[in-house]
Amino acid sequence: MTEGRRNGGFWAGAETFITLKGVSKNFKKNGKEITVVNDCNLDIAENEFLVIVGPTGSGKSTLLKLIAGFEAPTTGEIRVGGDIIKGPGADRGMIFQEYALLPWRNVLKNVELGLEFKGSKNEAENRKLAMKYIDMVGLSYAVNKYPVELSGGMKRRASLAMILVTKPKILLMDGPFNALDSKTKMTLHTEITRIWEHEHNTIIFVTSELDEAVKLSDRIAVMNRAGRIAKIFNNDLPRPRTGKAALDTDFHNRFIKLREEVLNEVKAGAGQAVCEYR
Amino acid sequence: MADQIEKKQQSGVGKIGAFLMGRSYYVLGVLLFLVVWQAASMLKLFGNDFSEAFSPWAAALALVEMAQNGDIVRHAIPSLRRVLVSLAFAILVALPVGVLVGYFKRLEQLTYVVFQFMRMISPLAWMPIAIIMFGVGDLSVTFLLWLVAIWPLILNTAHGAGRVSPLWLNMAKTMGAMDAGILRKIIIPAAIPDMLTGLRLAVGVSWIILVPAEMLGVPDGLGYFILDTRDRFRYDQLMATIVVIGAIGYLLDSINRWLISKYSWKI
Repeated sequence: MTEGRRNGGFWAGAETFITLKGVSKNFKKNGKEITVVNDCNLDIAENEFLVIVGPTGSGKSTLLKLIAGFEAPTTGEIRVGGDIIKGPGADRGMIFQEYALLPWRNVLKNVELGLEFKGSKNEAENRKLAMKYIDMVGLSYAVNKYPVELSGGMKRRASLAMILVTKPKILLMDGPFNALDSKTKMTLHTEITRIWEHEHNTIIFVTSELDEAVKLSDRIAVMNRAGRIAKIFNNDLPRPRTGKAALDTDFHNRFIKLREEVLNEVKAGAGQAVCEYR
Repeated sequence: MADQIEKKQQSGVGKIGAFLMGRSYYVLGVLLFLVVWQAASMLKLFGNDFSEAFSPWAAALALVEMAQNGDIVRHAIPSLRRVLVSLAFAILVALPVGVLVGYFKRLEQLTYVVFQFMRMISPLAWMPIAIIMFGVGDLSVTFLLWLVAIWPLILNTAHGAGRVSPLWLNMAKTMGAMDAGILRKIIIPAAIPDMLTGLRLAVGVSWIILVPAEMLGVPDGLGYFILDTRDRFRYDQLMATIVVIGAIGYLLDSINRWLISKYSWKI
């Protein structure tokens, strides 16, 4: 980790941590074989924040599931730290689009779940660790609440803490902030960035919002309707990217410019299909 | 919304009054039932000769008598023992079977027809077979009760285990959970509300089947005592025994309802 890394996006000298080589995924639909992910090649560095965007049906969620190990690639291979992945694992924590909180456990008990799975029996220690991450996502005022009592934003925070507490090296996030109001979303952007800088995770983040993509990423991979990675943009915008920094004219112009370039690429990749990106 | 406003407008006294008012209808219902029962007895609806003995008042006196001479305890204890023992064995078999059947789609399909078929057969139909297998006595009764209790337990547990969200399973896997952990921390807790519903149904149907089952040659129990009071022409005691059967059944169901309200989760 060099300091230049923070302000430089992905750079050539970085060591590869996750490698996708010729990864394709076919599904059978109505008896026809369709290719959802098509010959994707991708090298992701340790502690990189990679955002994947693309029109509906471009296979970005499937790509994430392949990396998580929930699906096996039809062809090609995915390596993490040099080893080919075989199924899901605790090194790759996935945060789902829907909430996966257990309704019979309160927030604290939900966050402790991952530690119980790891087999750590020390209850006091588990509680302390769970509280640390609940604090980190700003939910300490609601530790005793049950999922049914939580708002959408609170559920996102709880889901995040649930995965973070297991200390995954890689965070896979599938539209984690979709359908949240813009204020909550902005807070969570700040917090996920802070957590990422603090915990040094590698994050692969799928979204359908370009502002989010430009705000968070080191690089932005654009997928097209053919299920291919059409283009990868380096995002050199200096961090932090919120608050005062965002008001700087030069920063603002660069932000808009990058966003425009990515948008054009997404639109080109959408072809005849309706494009939800604006 | 309207409810909340109404609640706010009520004073403290009004609240207590409303609470009593709500309860009073339960009490009133019981009283009305006693009146109808007494009227039926006075109108000789139970026949000219015995209607007197069938009255609630006669039953109440017999109940006091049976409480004092120990008849209630003497027969209620074996009945409860039979139901609880058979339930324990039913739970032992039904919970694992239910979880497996609920979790594995193939196993569910494999067992579906047989289970639905078996559950529609009154266990009393098995009575001759039970007597051949286990002889006349406790074991046969317990077996019949076990046979009636397992179906609601299996089918409800299976329903609960089948309801486990794939999302929870995926989340557990992404946390590196093993199969045993997933079973213990996700599938079983997820199925608990349905297991308790199954238990409530099993207790209800066991208690109902108990009475005829105890008429099959056991020397004690509430079912046996019904026949005994009849043979002694003590129809007041017969009525009192019916009241005891109903009361214990109500109590058992209340315990189950309490368990359900305590251990159920909401989405």
